[in-house]
Amino acid sequence: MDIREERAAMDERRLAALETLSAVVKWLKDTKPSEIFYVEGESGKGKAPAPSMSDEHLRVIWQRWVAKASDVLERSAVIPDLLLADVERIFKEEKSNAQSSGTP
Amino acid sequence: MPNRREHLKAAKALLGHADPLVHILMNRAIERLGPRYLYVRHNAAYISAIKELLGEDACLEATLHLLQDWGVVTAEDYGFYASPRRSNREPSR
Repeated sequence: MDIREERAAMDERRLAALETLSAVVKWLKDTKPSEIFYVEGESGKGKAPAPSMSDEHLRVIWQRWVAKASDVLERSAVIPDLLLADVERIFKEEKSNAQSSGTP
Repeated sequence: MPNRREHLKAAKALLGHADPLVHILMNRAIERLGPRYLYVRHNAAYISAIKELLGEDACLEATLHLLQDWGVVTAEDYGFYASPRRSNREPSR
């Protein structure tokens, strides 16, 4: 294989790895229990758990989600061809997007 | 990044257990490897090591620590824990 072809193939794998990691971060943010089980508070102080949920029930849900996140992270840690700088950029972009949209 | 007190508060609120040793070990990874190694690879390996050493509960706590450092889990997610809404006590008169 020619060096240019090799380089193109590496870039393609790197892009695929980046997409996978972005999907993992999006999945984590979209599925966290506070996105699903929290409701807007009465006094406008932000979200709080739905009144029908006990602390214990909520903890079990968080424990399951964190366990699932642990599995996903373990798998995503072995993505080939991913550069550390790429990962840093993803998280920096996430933070700057959140700041520009006014969310904490 | 949240400090150790925040990590412990989140773990206590969301998981029901908080072990300072887990967070000392997690932050030691940054001290030893540098902030560039905060992301995926090294910490995922580190979490596996913590699981081997301290068990399943510690593994969950270490994962939560990582998610807090990344900004996936924020203070809003566990702020309810100290909220008076969840208190069962009668209000004083």
